[in-house]
Amino acid sequence: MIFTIGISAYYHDSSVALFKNEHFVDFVKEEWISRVKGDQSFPHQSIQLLCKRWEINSTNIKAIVFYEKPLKSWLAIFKYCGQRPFHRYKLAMRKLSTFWTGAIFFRAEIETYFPSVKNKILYAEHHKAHAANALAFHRKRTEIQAKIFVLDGYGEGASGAIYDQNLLEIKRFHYPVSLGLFYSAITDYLGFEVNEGEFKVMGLASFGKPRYLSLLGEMIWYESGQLKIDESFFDYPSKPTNYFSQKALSSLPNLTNSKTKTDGVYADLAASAQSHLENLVIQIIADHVEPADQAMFLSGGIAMNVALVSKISQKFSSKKVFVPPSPGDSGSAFGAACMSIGLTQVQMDNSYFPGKRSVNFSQPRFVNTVKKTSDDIGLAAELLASGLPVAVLDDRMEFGPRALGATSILFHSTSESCFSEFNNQVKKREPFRPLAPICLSEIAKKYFRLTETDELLARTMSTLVKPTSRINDKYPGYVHVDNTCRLQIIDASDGLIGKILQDCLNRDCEILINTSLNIAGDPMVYDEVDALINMKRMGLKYISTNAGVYEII
Amino acid sequence: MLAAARNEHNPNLFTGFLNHAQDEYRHANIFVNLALRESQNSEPLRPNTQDVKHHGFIDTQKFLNQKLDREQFGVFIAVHEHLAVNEFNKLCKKLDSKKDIQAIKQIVEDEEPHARTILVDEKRHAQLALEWVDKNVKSVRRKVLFTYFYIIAKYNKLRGHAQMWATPLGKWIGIPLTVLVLVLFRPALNRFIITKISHLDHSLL
Repeated sequence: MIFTIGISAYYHDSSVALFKNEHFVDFVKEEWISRVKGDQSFPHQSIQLLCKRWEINSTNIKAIVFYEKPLKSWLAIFKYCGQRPFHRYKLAMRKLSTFWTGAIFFRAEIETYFPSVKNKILYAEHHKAHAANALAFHRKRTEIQAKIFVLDGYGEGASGAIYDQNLLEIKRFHYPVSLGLFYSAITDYLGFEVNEGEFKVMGLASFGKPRYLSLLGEMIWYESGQLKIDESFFDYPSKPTNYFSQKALSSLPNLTNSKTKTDGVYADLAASAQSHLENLVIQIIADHVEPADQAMFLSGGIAMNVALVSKISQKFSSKKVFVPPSPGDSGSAFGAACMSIGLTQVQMDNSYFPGKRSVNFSQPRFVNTVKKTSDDIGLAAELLASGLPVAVLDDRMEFGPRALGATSILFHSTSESCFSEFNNQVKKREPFRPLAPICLSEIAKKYFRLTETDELLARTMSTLVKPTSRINDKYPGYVHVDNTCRLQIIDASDGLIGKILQDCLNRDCEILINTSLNIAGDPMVYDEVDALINMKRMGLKYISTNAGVYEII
Repeated sequence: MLAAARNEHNPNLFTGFLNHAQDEYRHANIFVNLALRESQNSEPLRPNTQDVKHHGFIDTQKFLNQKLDREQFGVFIAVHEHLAVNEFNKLCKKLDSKKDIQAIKQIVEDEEPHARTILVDEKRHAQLALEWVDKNVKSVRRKVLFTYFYIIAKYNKLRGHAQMWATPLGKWIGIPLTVLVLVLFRPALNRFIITKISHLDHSLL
C-alpha cells in the first residue's frame, strides 16, 4: 500500500488529495472540517482525518507533493518589491510578517505528522499543477493536440500560463499583470468578499449593461500579444493580493447611487467587468490557439467563471472546450499529486471520488434528532413532486466547489415566485443569484439547446446553456434574467441523484433545482452532523441518503 | 460546538451540542447583521472569515474539545456561558436605561429583543453545562478547573481578543499565571468563583 498526497495551502482553499497507488481515493478541503469558509491555513485537520481513516504513516507514503515552489513564490514577491522599494516596502513588510507561518515552512509542518519524510517531499510548479488537474479528467488527452490555458490570481511570480498537451510551457503571464486579481479588485469594490464573491459578480453581471468598458480598459488591456495593467489602479503594495487603489476609488463609478445591487451602477460595473474579462481571455486564446488544435483546456480560478467558459465555447465552436470539476487552487492539490504519479497512470472517469463518507443516520446518537421515514428513496421523488425541498447526502462526494447532486438540496416547482422565496428563506442569499437546474441526459435536449461541448461541460456544471421555449412554458423560474441556465446533466445510473431523477420522471418532474446543502457563505456540508445542523438552520425537513429517507425531528 | 457534536456518541450530549451550535450560529448572525448595518454610513465592514484563525479564536491544529479532556471541556463551557450570562444581563440593563435617548432609540428597539433572546439562550447553556459538571466532575477537580478557566477567561478579556487556549503559547502562560493568581488572591477568588450550580445567582437562571 503506497500513498501519494497532494497538498494546497496558505493562500486559500487548503486541501489534501490522496492517491492509493495510482487511484484517487480521497479528498478533503480544510474548510469542510474547520467550517471556516475558504480556510487557507495548513490543512492540519484534513491530514489528521486522512491519516486516521487510511492508516497513513511515514513508512507507507510514496510522495508528498506541495502545489507550488514556496521559495520561488516568496522570492518573486521580493524581486517585485525590489524594483521599486520605496513604493512597495509595505508589501515586503507584510510578507516578512507572515514568514514564520507561510509556505516556506511547509516541510516543518508536514514533518510534525510524518517524521523523516524529507526525501519524499516534492514541490510542483503551481500553474503546471493546475494544467495537470485539467488533463487528468480527459480520457483522450494523449490522442489529441490541445492547448491548456491556466489563468488565476497569483502563483510563483506568475498569474497564468499556457501549455501544450505535453505540459510544455508556451507562455507565462507575470505578476502583477493578473486577470484574476483584476476581477477580484472589482469584486472587492462592489463590496463582496475576495476569493468568495467573484461568482456573485458574475451572477450580478446579467442584470446590467457593460457601460464602463473603456474605463476598465484603462486598468487592464491586451496589446501586441501581452497583457498589461496600470498598477496605479491597484493597491498591491499595502495588500499583497489585490484590491483597488485610491485612484480606482475616484475613477470608478460611485456605488451609493444604486438603491439595490441589481439596478444601476452596481450591476453595470459587474457587467462591464465580466464583459471585459471575456474580451481579454478570448483575445489571449485567439492569439495562441492553432488551427490544428482539437481542444482547449481551461484551468485556474478564472475557469470557474461559467459565463466566460460559455462565451469561449461559443466563440471557438470548432474546438472542444474542457474545464475540470475543480479548476481552482484546491483542485491543484490533485494536479500536483498527478504530476508525481505520472499523468499517464491517472484516469478519472467522473467528477466524484469514492472517498469514505459513509452516511449513516442510524447511529444511536441521532435518536433524538432524526427518524427514518422510508427505506425506499422513491419517497424523495414523491416529496419533491409535492413541492417540498429534499436534501441529498450521497456516500460518494463531489470533487470541486460545486454541488453536483451528492451534497445538494433538490427542489421542484413550476411557479416562478417560489425561487425568490427559496433564495431568501432557505438559502438566505441574495435574490439575484441564479438557481441551477439538473436533469437526466435523455431529457436535457428536450429543454435546452446543447452542443457537444455543452453536454460535456454540463456534466460538471461548468457552462451556461440556452433554454428552449419549452422550459419557459413549463419552468419559467429556472431561467436566469439573461436567458441562460446553469445546467447539470447526469445519467440515471449516476449515484443516488440519478435514481431520484429517474423516479421523478414518473411524477412529471423532469427538471429539478439543485443547490448546495448549505446556507450561503458557509462551506459545503461534509458529514451527517454538518448536514443536520444546516438543515435545522434552513428549516429543511427531509434528507435522502443511500439508506433511505430520513426526517429531521 | 459543532466539532464537539461531531465527536460525541451519547445521544443526549450530541443533541445538546447540536442545539448549542445552532444557537451560536443564530447569535453570530445577529452580531454580523448589526455590524454590517451600523457600518453602512462609514467605511463598509468587510467581514473576513480567515480572521477567526488569524486572531486566535480557533486553533489551527485542533478544536478545543480535542485539546481538552471531557471534564475540562464541560467546565470550560460552564464558566464561559456563565460569564456570557453576566455580560448580556449587564447589556440588557443598559438597554433598559437608554430607552429614552432619542438618538439610539431605534437601535435599542431593534436590538433589545435580540439581546434578550441571546440572554435566554446563554442562561440555558450555562445551566445545562453546570448540571453536567455537577454530576460528572469530582469536587476538587471541579474547583481547580473552574478557577483555571475563570482566570484565563478574564485574562483573555483583558487582552481584548483571542482565546489563549487556541494558541500553543496559551498553556505556557496560562498555567503559571493561574498558579500565581491563586497564590496571591486566593481569599478574594473564593468569594466569587462559581464551582457549583447552587452558587449561581438564581435570579439569572
